[in-house]
Amino acid sequence: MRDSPWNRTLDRRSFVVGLGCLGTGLRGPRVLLERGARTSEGAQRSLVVLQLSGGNDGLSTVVPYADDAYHAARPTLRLGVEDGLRLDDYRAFHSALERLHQRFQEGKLAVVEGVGYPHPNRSHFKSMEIWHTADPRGRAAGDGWIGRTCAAAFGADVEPHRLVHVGPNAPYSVHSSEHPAATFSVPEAYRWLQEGQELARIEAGEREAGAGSSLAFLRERMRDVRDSSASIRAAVARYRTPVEYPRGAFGESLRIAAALLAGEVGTRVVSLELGGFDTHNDQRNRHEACLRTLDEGLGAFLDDLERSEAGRAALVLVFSEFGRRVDENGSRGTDHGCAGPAFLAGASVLGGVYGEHPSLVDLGEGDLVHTTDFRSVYATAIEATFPVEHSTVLGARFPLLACAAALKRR
Amino acid sequence: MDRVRPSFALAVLLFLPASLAAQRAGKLAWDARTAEHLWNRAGFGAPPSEIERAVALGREAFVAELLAGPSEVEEPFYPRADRSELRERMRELTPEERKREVGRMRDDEEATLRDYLAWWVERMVRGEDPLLECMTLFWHGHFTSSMSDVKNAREMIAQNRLFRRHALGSFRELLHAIARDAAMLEYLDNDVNRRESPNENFARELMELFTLGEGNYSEQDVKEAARAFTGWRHEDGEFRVVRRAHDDGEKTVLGRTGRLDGDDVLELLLEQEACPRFLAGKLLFHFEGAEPEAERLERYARLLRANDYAIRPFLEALFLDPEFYRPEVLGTRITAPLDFLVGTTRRLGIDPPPRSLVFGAGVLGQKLFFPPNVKGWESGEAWITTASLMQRGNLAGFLLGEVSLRDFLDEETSGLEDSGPPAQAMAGEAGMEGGTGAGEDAALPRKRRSEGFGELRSLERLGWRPRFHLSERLRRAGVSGDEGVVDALAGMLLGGDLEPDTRRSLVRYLGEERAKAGVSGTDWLDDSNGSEPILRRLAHLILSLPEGQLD
Repeated sequence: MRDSPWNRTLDRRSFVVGLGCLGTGLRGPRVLLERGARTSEGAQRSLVVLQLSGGNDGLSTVVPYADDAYHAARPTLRLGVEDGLRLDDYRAFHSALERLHQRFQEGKLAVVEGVGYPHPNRSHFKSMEIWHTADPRGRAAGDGWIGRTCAAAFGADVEPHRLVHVGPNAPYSVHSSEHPAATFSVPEAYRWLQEGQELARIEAGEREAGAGSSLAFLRERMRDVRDSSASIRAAVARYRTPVEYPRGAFGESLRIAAALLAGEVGTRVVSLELGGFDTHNDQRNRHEACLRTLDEGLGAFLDDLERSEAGRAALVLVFSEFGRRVDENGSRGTDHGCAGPAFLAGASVLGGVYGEHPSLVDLGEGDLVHTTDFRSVYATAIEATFPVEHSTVLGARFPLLACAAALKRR
Repeated sequence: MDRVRPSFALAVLLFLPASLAAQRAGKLAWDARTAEHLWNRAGFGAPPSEIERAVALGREAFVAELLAGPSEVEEPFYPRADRSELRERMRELTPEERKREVGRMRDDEEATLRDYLAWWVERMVRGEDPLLECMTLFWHGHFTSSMSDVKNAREMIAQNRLFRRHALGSFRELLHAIARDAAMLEYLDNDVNRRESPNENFARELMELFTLGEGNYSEQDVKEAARAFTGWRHEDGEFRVVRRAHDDGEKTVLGRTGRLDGDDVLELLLEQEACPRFLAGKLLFHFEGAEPEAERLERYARLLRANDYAIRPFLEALFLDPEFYRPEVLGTRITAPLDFLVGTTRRLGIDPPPRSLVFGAGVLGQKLFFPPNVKGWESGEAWITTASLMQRGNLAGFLLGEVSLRDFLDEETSGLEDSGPPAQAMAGEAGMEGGTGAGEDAALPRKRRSEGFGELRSLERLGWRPRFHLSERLRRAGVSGDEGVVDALAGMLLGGDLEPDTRRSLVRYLGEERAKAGVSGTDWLDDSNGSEPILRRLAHLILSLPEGQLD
């Protein structure tokens, strides 16, 4: 894999990013204040990955308000600085991102610019697979990147709720043949009723069903369910917080995530999803509603995390599986494109803007050309959370966002 | 013999050795096992009586019967007032009246949708034309549209009727029709695809997901094809081409240049080698639950093309193909939620409210009219999450009368006794920690916010209980002994087979349960009061097992 042209392009590009980070005097060079398996408080580190599904429009999230090319490309969708919350002389947050802006000003939120990958594939599904596997082959490459991270960090030590997705459908990123994710939306319903509980008595195992068969797969899931349901429900039922989460499924999923981390039931990665970002039309209203939901929910969640040791040991990564075109389409919306901002938040994060904003003039087939390889973001998240060398997961080395000092220390 | 095939009727048992021997010899035996397989894959499963009837009919005759449709479908729905009329009426109203009217319309939409889906699932259960409903569901997952974007029940229903009308007919005709379908035009934004500003959404998914598959077209093809569909709109559900919005200039799509319009592009796609291959692959995977081998895929792709994309001859060839009944396919597919719920309903011969099945399928990840994305539902292992596996067991319990919907509603801490103090006991601590007790307030409304809560409540009020009598059924079939009972129940309830180790565990379980309840003797089935609760619990257990998720 290391020698594929895909990788070489990436390596070179990423290298340039690393230099750029040092050279342009952007806030840096460290995105992370500390790392290691445990925090200085002694809590186990954990990772929360939130996917903005449908392809978030980065230009309406971190708005390059000072760029004329932006206003030219977005005659109806453009946002002025008066609509936004200023980050610096070039960029501003969308006005819906009040709470995140507050965090940014407090130096607790890192914005990573221009995250993407080369030779972008505009198929919604293929692109999602690439994001989820961190591999140009998509699913053909095997497990998702989070699944592989767990395999690298925990090996054969399998715990059924170490990896949790809260929501109806787990993204492929958490797909793991060794560390399957516990997946549920409503923990109250996460249990067997009546005779289902007796399944423990039907211990199949005198002879294993053929490896790779659907029966073997089902038997493995059955074991996971038996082991994980009670402690997950207990952690959520016990959880009490003064933080008010917004109503709705997204707020609820964040509250559950906080409960699992605070409950210290062994959950080390929580995957979450917020949908609705596929704004091919009427983008202004739809996107604003999405960002408002994001801001209210994530703001509450980050407040909540600060209350506990376990919460302070969590790193939150927010990304979208692809971006949108620079030019708006004829329906006051935008079509699928590439590259956008990602966010990192948590007590271990040193806030600021990292990486360069992609050029709005020098485009690739009408799309932003990424400036930060998405695997640099993954690499940073991996090394910030687990004592794992990121190349064992990603197949090659990528510059960490903490361009130098802190991460080299280990 | 790798697997034990439990059987309900004695006759079924007698067919078994012959079946396996014939398969080894490469010939196809038509017996209870193969007949049930066809019922599973082409008709949501069947009760033993239907399987016996199919065996007696013979394979050719039964396949012909399956394919005979579409029968005249009587739909108990009438077209509702169209939107133009509503718009007129709205203009004359005061703001308050308008608000009330909008609320009424929304309720009406929801009711219409609910009625229609209940009717559709009821057709699956009744099995008057099982293959027709199977294929209608297949097309719903192929040419996806979602109510969450379309937001119009009439249009979603019209699209579903279109699928039913063309379910076994010509893919060519269906493709041309779906490109004109109101729900599709809206779902993939073609209604805003204009000459001055093309929207590529429909053109891209048309190539990637509907006809060719990824990698068989270029970005340029997508851009040019999008222009060909500019101006394709609908007005209150009626298709029309808006001339001034249509780009009738020259375009080059897949190597063909000309003043192509949408229909030209559709024909071009149908001409591509990749198209019959893509569709054949999808159909084979759907019915067999496994990727076809390359040579076989080519054969079926040629068959589609030779028949000008007619679906009926394709399915006829498949259902008569011995490969369709090979051991790697039989009983190895992870059932889709509707196959699981409708199949269990049909095998047991019960009559749950169709709405409960619509709702249950949604809980398990197959929410009709709300596919997860334009790619439709992902099948196989993707159906199974830790939560959905559990809920399959719980919903099977509901169908068997073992689990009350009230149990779903009860979120409290049952089953958590050993895991820590119950929620209420923690309230005091929250008060101390938060200072205001806000934590308590935040926790309480959560229950009411849970998805689908209202739907569950209204179903609970129906108070439905299944009517069936397992001990009586087994007695009549002459079943005796714990092993006989386990085999008979598994044969009745499962679409596939039981592994020997699971079977042994179940026999042991049955013995222990009988001992606990003091139900014993060779004729213990005669004592229905004692035996029926045990049998129902056993049935619930069987359907909750890994084997219960396969057909």
